[in-house]
Amino acid sequence: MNFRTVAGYILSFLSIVLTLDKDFDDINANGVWDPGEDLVISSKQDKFITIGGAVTEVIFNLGFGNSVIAVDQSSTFPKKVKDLPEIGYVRMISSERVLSKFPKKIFSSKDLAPKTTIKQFQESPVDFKIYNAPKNIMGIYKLIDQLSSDLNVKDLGVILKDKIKSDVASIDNISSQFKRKPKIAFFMNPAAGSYVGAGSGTVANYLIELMGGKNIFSDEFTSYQKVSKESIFMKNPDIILVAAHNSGENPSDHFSKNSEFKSLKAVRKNNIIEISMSDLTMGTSFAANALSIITRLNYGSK
Amino acid sequence: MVQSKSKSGLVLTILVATLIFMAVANLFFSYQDFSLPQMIEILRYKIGAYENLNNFSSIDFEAANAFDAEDKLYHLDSLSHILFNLRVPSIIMCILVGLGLGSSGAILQGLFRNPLVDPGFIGISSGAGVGAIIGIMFGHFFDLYFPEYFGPFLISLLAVTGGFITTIIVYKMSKVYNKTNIMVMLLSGIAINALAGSVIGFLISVSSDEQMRMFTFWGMGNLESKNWIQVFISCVLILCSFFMVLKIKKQLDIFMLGDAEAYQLGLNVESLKKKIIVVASVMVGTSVAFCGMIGFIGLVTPHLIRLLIGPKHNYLIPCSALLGAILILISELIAKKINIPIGVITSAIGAPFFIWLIFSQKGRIGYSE
Repeated sequence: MNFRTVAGYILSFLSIVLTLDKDFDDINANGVWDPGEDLVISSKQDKFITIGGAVTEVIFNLGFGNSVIAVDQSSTFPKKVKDLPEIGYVRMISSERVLSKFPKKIFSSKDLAPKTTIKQFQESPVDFKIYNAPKNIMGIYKLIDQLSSDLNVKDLGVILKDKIKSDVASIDNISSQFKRKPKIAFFMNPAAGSYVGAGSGTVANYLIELMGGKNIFSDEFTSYQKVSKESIFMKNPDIILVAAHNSGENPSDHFSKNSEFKSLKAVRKNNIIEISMSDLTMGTSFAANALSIITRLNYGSK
Repeated sequence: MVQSKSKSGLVLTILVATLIFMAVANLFFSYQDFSLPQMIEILRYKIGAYENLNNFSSIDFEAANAFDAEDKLYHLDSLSHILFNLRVPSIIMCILVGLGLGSSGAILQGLFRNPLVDPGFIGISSGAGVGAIIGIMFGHFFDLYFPEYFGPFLISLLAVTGGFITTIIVYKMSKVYNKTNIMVMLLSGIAINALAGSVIGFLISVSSDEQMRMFTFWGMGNLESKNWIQVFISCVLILCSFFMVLKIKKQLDIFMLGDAEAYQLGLNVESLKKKIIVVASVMVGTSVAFCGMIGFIGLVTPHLIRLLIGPKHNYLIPCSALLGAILILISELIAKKINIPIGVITSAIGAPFFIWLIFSQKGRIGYSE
């Protein structure tokens, strides 16, 4: 084996190693990176369009926020996405509207509809990537792995996952201190005579279970459904989570300031917790939001 | 109202010209507007009639950050895809759906001898709605048992099946002594619509948030994102039905005299009723299946045409069809420019116009004149 052959092997090996993954020291000049911090390699010239709240959030958290030129309506995290042009709702995407922005890459969740749009994106010259929408924390880890691999920044994906794992560990730590499993109810936009509770198949149910609680409606239905006032009293939850879409009225006041509900355990113990609808977006900030909610609970420990 | 042949001919000519104008306007203006030189250059790229990329002087490569040859080709591919695979199918679909809804409205108003009838009266729309929500809610089960290529058409297939089932039920219910009783058909349609409404209500109440939103959007209509297969299927079904409608236009004029009179004049009344139900179901069913609910076109267009040229079907049917297509093209253009579903626009244009029409033409609406 002569010198030229050996040198050739070494060069080939190095080129493979270097193209496998960009080391994050090369990406950020100072070698320190926090999830969400924009990478120096990210720019508007990349022309990304992201569809689906979780996909958008992961891409921004991996530092590619500067590359995104437009997002769909369900993309609400991080807050700076609101400054970007919108291309419609994930379930009603117009392929012409998206392609008229001349993206180079489209990253979408499989929630994308109508289904003919998926085929039209695949047939277009644009690099189109589609991912399962996460339904739980494991799904978020998987999405981070896939996106960080496709964007060639696996190291940053590991850092992002570590941040979420740390939040989940803190939640487990707090919930393990509960004297018993709290009975929790979730209501969307509570109003006189109308109470929409969360069933077993909802993100709210997953949030309750992640916080170590038991959803009082999980054995009754799977989606968001109207429940009677009588059933709320019968189940008598320890904690009530309430959320509203930009309502002018404080949604928690509906229970806490209404004498009709004063016999409920949650009201007596001042455990009416107001959350934002965006806390229920299954993305990278889901665990952090859950941690923030669990720290606000007024529930007895062992 | 006496129908003047020359006036009707003039109206028909104006409508054809307006349809062509609106189709061309929709080709040029959308999310991304094209100028005529750009359009010609995209066409030249598509057919390969160019020598080098510098020939494309009207395409703004700089705005698209396309500086090298690879980026320029990529940009031209995108433009060509937008124009030929997205915009042209959408325009053809608009015309087909407009033709279908406009002509169905005209023949159904003739069948019921009632100008307040629209295709929804015989249960097609509500049946399609039941089919669509079943597709949205249980699509994942169907995916397990049907080949993958059925996926994008599942909601359409179920919607068209639902529409046909309800129409057949309404038709069967309206049989009295082996003859179709129009009044019973109207009442059966109302009952079946109410029943379908309750089924939809039940399914919505147990659906997830996402499914509910999807159904809501389906109900607002969508003429975008149509592929050539959908266009081809719609083209075959709607155009065949439309030509059948044109063949029965004279029989409809005789039918307007009344069942007994038409029978005395030698018209096979039962056969005519059956033909009208079948072709209207096919046209409306196909439109609803591929494009969701688009309201008001079937109701408003025959009215407007009747006010202009009178009730004779030889001009009423083609003019209603053309006006239907024009209104859909106008609505689609507005919908794209302001990013709102087309069903919202058709109702927003149709309803106030219809109210104005009723108040301004009170004495002229109807068949008796």
